[in-house]
Amino acid sequence: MHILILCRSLTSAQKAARIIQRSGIYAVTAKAPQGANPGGCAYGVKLAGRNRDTALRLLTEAGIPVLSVIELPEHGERR
Amino acid sequence: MIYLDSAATSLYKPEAVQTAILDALHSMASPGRGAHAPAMKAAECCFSCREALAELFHMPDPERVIFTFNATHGLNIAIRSLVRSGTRVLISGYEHNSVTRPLHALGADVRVIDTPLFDPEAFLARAEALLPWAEVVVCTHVSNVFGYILPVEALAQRCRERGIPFILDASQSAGVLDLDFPRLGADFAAMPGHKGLMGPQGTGVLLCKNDAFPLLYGGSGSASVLQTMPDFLPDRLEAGTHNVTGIAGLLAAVRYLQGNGLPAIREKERALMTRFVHRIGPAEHMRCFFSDDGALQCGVLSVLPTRLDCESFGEALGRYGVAVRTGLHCAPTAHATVGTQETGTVRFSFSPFNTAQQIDAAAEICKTILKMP
Repeated sequence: MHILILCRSLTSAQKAARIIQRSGIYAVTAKAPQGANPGGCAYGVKLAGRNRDTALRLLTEAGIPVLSVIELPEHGERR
Repeated sequence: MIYLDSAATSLYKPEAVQTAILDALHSMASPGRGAHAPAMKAAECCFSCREALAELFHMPDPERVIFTFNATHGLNIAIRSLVRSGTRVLISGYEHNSVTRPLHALGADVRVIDTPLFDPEAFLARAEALLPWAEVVVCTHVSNVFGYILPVEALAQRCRERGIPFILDASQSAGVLDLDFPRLGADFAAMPGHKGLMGPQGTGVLLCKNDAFPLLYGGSGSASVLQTMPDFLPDRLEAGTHNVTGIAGLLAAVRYLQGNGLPAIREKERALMTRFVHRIGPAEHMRCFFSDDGALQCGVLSVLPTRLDCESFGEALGRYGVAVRTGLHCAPTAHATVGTQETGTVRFSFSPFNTAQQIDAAAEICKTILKMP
């Protein structure tokens, strides 16, 4: 299972991805599914769900705002 | 052709710039507008460029690096964020119209630190006297006409002590002089991508300490439901599709600068300018606005011929294949300060890609035109 850590902007998501990648975790920037963010289009960082806690801690330490965390099941349906 | 107009635009650019532009043209779409490979490649390019610029200007946060179309665009954002009708604004006597025209349009109350060329002590003394009056300060780092390096660090420090917002115009210094934006403590620094940074025309950068008001409104690829611009940077100030090909070129240029080091570039430009002045020799037929002190002047030199008007001299140089700029250089304030507003000047501006042979040839051509011994 993968997760998408939703960020406030593409640039913020890219910054977040860099920080997570530097810790050795595979992470990529990805566009959020429509409806994921009530404000409209958004981007986030996609990574394996097992790395969720580490990634969120790293982003908190770096002061990067996280809007929400979305679970992305294997078949692509959002929960 | 001997191109000596790099203060207007750097014509000679690192080869990697052209390669990067072509690659972007063929493979990159719009960042923040899709999730497909060309969009994501464009997004990666733009973010890498923000990171490279943040590193160049010692900024920890690439989100505060804003892409603009040129320095004027960035200065308009900065000035309109801080200045209203009647705001008391202190400027140097060497400002470009990209500063003075927005201030005039807004109805700002402007005072000028109109002190002599290459005299930073006089500048700071006059600034000290006027700062209690000022609500905002705008100052160029380097005069685009005379290459004069203004003491902006000391001025910014005095602004910080008094809590006065400070805007830096880094149009002629970016890519040549080291700029530590956080240490300077300026609210904004604006610069073009196409001069010292050696990127293509149509690129510019605005460094933001704090929030700013948008100059343009439109799509940002984020918070699309809202009918206001997003309240976070860089999206707040970057409405519409980015100049991705330009940014790709700018990224290649910044990496070139980082690889070569700014001190080496500055030294080369300064050495070429000094060589030119020495080759010209005694200033009987041409007044050179030159400082022997390398700390006071970048590779931008204005001259005033005594036997010819500036336009005729510039035209004659053009016929010999020497490209320079003549006139007021969009900086009438600078000419008023130095006393050349009636004549203008002929400006020679140097690039690290110019060669000593070009400089010697240009000096000989000057002498021929002016019939100097």
